[in-house]
Amino acid sequence: MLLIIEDNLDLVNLYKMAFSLIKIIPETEVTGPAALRRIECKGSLPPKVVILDLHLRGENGIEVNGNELFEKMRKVWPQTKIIVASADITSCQKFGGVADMVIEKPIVNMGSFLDRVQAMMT
Amino acid sequence: MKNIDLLNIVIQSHDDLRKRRIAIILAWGIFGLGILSLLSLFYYSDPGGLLQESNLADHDFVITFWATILTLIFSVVFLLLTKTKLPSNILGSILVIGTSLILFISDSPRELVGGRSTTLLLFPVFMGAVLIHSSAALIISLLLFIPFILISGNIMEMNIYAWSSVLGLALVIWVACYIMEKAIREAREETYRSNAMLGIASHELRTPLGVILGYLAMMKLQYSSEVNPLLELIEKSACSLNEIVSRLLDQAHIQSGKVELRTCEVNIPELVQKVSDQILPLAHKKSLNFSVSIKDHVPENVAIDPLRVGQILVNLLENAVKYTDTGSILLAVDFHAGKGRKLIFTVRDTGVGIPKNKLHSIFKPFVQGQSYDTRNYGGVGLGLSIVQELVDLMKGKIVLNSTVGVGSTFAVTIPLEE
Repeated sequence: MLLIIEDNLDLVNLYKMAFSLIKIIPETEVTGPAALRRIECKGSLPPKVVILDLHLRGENGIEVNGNELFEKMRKVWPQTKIIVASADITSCQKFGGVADMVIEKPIVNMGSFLDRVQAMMT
Repeated sequence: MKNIDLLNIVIQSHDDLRKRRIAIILAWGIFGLGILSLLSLFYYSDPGGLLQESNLADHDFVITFWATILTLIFSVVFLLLTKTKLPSNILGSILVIGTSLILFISDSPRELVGGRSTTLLLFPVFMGAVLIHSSAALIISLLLFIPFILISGNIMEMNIYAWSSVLGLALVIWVACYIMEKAIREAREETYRSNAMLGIASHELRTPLGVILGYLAMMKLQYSSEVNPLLELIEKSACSLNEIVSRLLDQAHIQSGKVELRTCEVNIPELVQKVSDQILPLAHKKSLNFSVSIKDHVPENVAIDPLRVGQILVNLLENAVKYTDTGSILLAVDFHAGKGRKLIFTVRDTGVGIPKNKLHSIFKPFVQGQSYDTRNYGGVGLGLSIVQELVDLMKGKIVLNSTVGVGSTFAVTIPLEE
């Protein structure tokens, strides 16, 4: 299963459209707290790959950023491969060598990105 | 709206940085003049001493007068630049106004205090007092009185010179502390502002751009068989916009000190190949001849930051392609062995060249070779500024030779760790 944690609905739809080309139907979380609830839920199945945006919207005044989610996921889902996707170059540099893949937005070469995600999913 | 805010922050940030630098220089100027005044005080309080035996006696009044005037000018400019509000220190204000009045109404200020111009000396001292806000410095300066009290046995027995000396010394320390506190506070504020700007720029500008470019990439994947010129046009413009935003972010990152060099062993031919792969398609598009030359004695592996050196070369070569309509572009790599080992990258083009009057400012942000270049060649004039900042970060140097109509040569020297 592929999980996308991204607060920009246009980008979420873009991901869905792109992954449909390689026959992957991703699940999505569009706020930080919602993603955190999913990670903390004991019955939830760990995804194979997560695409994580670092700047996420809050919910009812509760803010959970991508860094916290990353740490939490590494603890709860140690086998899950995490792709950090950010428009912030500094954050991208910070996660280089820590995340399984770092993608700097905008994703210009969509074909290559899909190939790499597909390889991680198999 | 957010774009306008961002632009304002960028301009404000540059403006404030310049003002802060001037303010700190002025503040140190005041500090230096305070010391000069203090030395003069010791000179007057030491009749018949070593200083008096020198030839300074003839110039004492002139030195003190100009020290006072300069302090006054520096203080006013400092106040205006930093927008420092005068504290509600009534005593300080009275002293400043009082000493100013004495200075201007007295025919012979020397006669006021035992035939010496101590009153004049008090002026810069009290002028500086108006600038003071630091409570920590206040405590330090008050502590200075203790040795004097211990020596004299009675504070009331201290003469005018001793009082002046103590006050002068206290002021010098006080001003120094104030400068440091202010510099630290402003540096923190600036870091906060830079971070805020980077946050806005990164998320609010690049995210919608990401969506546009992402959908374009999707459309190209889906309709790859149909050559759609409209899609190509949209993508070209979106990519240009993305490049400008990226350059602005790079510039902001470097200026806010966020860029750190990550040095590692790098294979030079591989790095040059990687850079060439990016430049070749651009050169071919304009039918330019692009060649690479690596001297034999260049070591295969050297310790540099591959990302940033690559960025320097790409920026220089992209510029070369942009400003060359016919002819060739050369990237040469040389090595200087011996004591200060250096790697020298040279980018030579047969382009339009840079006018002599622009050579000194071409590495400044938002400057291009010709005023009409933004329209003719695109971009915002940040490429060379980023190159300069990165070269400075590497403690290297960049030399530019250019002739209008003949071409330009940029030589970047990067020192290597021993």
